[in-house]
Amino acid sequence: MASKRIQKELQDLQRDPPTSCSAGPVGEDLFHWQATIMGPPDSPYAGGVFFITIHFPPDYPFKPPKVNFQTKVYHPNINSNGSICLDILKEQWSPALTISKVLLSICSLLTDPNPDDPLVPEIAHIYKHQRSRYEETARAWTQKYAMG
Amino acid sequence: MGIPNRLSALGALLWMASLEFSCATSASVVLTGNNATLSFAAVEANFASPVKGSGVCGVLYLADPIDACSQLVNEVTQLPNASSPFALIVRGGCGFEDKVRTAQKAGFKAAIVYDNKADGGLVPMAGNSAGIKIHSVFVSEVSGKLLQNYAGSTNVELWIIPSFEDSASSIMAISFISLLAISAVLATCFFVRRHHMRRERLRAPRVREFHGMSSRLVKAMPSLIFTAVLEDNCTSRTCAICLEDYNVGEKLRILPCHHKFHALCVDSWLTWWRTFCPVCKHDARTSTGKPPASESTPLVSSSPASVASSSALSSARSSVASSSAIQIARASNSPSASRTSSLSSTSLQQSHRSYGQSPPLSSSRSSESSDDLRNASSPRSRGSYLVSAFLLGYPSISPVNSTFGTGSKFVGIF
Repeated sequence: MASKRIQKELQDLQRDPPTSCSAGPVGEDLFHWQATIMGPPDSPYAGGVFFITIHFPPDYPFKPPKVNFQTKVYHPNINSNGSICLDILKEQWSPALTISKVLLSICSLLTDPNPDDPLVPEIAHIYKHQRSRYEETARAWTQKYAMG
Repeated sequence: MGIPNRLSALGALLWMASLEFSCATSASVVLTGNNATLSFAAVEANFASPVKGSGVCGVLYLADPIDACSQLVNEVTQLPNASSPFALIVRGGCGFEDKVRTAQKAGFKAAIVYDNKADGGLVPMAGNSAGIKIHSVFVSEVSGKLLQNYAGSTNVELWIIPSFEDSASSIMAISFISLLAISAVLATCFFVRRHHMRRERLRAPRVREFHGMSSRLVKAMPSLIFTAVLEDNCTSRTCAICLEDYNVGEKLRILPCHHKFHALCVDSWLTWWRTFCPVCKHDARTSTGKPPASESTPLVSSSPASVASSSALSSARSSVASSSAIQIARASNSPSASRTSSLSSTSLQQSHRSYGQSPPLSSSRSSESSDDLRNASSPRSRGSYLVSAFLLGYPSISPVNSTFGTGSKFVGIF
């Protein structure tokens, strides 16, 4: 079931690629993908290209895929290991979700961080109280790690 | 309680093991001369003083009489260079204990008893240890005959050494005992833990991280056999779980929120993983809940046959139509309300039949019954065979002017 469904998702992605992101398997292993997300234009991540690794569990789609940022991101819900704090990747996962929907959710997370459920409390604090400083740092990190 | 019993049994086992090891300690008798070293296997007597450490050294003399059953003629005081004299005694005539006592009385420091039969094994000599201070070992007949040749010669030394096997066996004994002790501790831990766990389980049954629901409940949910792509927008043609299009003849499961999936796909999701609908996250266990609207929810039925009667009714209808293909029409040639309230499978099988009601509806009444309506009307769709127990048993279908979709066949199966 898992490999068939992943194959199907891959076909759908190739037939109808979503704007601002792309995804596909790394090498021969269908259960290990790499994806890219363009920083949303209305966010401090604009202009950056963020690399993401995706690992599918054997019981996909009943279990969520493991999704991690490879590129360093300054974000309240993404830590230095690239772990993403997103409910749909954990307890709110549903088998009706696809990788393209997950990537879209990550895009919207970049635009609208959720400081009330932070993975990095320091960044969440800055985001809440010193928004301009947060934007500045996020832009600087994007410049440094996600461009060129 | 089983644990103390087990422990006492283990203790008895340990005691028996240690007893067995203390019974027969083997030793060796080593003769070292100018140019040769001879070693003989020996067994220490269990009543004599045990040989310790690196052993004892002495000079060998023949006992006289050789069986040492009567008082010895050759007393140690008469012997030359008798710093540590050992007596060589043959087996037989009297008990081992008597022989050793006689040797001790004559002043010997050790008694070496050799067998009187050629093919006998080494026996651990037994007797009463009271008052015996000298060492005593038993050797074979062959060894005894050889040792006789060196009796009285002061240029050879005779050693009685606690043999390597002895220490090895004590090591073995120690390791065996410690192994037993460890396993006893582990067993105790295990039993205590298991007991504790059993009590926990009794206290809070089934609080494991199992999120699914019973397969009996899942199987009780309505299902239908897919026959054709539906014209309405409500039923998608693809299963959201496996992303495969439905094929004719496949069994679809209808959740209380009216979302449909391959029965195989959604059954394993609900049974093994979580209990909410994969699309709308409505809990599948609660069938009476209001189905949440999705982007595919049509506000009004797309069928031309439907006629909007009043605004209140159309709102109730839109929620009814949200995931089923009900066509709503004003039908006047309908059976009475009492007839509808007793829906049976035969009446359901009548197609082209409208279950409408003549009495005009007040808006308050229609909104009141909208919840029941939703429940009652869910699994209907044109072009599909309904295999459902869901439809029946909802008598309050009455306030809606509904014709079941033209050309549809309903098969009530229980």
